[in-house]
Amino acid sequence: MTKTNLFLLLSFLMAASLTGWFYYQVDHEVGEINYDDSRDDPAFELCDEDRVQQDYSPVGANYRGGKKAIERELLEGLQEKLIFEGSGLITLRFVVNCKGETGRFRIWAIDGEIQEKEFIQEQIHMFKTSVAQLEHWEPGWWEEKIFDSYYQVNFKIKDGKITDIF
Amino acid sequence: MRKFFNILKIILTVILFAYSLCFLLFIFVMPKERRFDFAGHMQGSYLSQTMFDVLTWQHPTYAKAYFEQSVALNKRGEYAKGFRLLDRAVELDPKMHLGYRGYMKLRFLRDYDAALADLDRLDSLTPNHTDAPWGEDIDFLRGEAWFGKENYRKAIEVFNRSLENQGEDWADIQTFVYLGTAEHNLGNYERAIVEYNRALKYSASTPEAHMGLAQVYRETGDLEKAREHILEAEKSMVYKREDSYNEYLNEIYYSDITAMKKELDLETASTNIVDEHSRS
Repeated sequence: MTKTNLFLLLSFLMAASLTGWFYYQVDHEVGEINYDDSRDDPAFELCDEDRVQQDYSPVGANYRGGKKAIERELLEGLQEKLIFEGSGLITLRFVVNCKGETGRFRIWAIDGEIQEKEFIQEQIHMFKTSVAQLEHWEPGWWEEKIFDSYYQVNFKIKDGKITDIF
Repeated sequence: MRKFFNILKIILTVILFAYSLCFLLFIFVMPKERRFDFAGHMQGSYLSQTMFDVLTWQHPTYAKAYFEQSVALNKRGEYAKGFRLLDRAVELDPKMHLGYRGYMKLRFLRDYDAALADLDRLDSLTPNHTDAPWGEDIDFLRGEAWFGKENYRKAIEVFNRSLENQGEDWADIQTFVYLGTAEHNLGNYERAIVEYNRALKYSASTPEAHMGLAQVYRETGDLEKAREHILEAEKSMVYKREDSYNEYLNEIYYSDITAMKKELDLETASTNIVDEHSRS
């Protein structure tokens, strides 16, 4: 291979890789939840996989009665089974699809110092199944188009007890 | 012909290298303020996060970049990562970022003690100046934190200070609503009515104040006035206080109004039955 061909190949590979990297960087967002066959239900489908709205966008989903209603529906059941040492916050982020169904749950826990906290697998399952039982979702819409969107619920814990859901 | 292709290859190579160089200049060399603005506009994208990573790697004391990078993470629930960045911003420039961190701890984490610690520290760093973290009066935010802690006496004291800071005409109307609810929770019904009415004096369409009045009148047995205010609350719900990021501590919903209307109907019906019995 001549030097000219080698430089041409190198410049092409470099430009192609940078373009691919740039496209990936622009096309992906913090907090997005992509389908993961090891933990997500394949029956849960989105109307538009490429346009899942943020919960705080004008077309984000809501729950009838807000987080207060979620607290009323979930608190008692979760309180009984919660195992959480000390204080902190559990955040459950998931997708509400355009049909008002929920799926693709992800969960994070932090302690009182806002540091990541390990969380027992069974407890993760308990939070997911509890939230999955909520029935009064109102997907966001605009001009007759209904959107999929993210939603998140925080569970505030003090001395091992849930004191607030918001 | 061969020479022509060789020249073409060289031109192509130069164009492709120049194209790649533009990317690298854009990410690593452009003035930091311009990269900051671009990354800020792309908030939440991986590209934005990468550009902030590069900026803070090249300029480890660039507080604004840590702060801006934290925003998308905290909005989307990744608090451990988000607050690590925000803590660094506060460490580097406390006067500029303590207020926002206090606001975030109040509204996003509902960690009232931590929020108060940040807001108090900010206040101590800026004597003779009334801070307004994220556009809200510092004492309104501190009042909300005390209200969240269910220390209603302290909340009343601090909300009243907010009214002094702002002047009653310019204060957030929810200050009066919180004052009304705090008085109500302490069992001071008359004071609660005064405070809710102060909110309605400035805006007759404050559903939270009507709702509060309906609750007070219901508890004091004036079901007619309770009914009147719950209907007013329903009419003015379009003006209710809401935020797309988080639920407010005193947020109300149509379902609350519907539930209260039902309860009032039942209570009115049972009062009428008692009245009829006592007459017969």
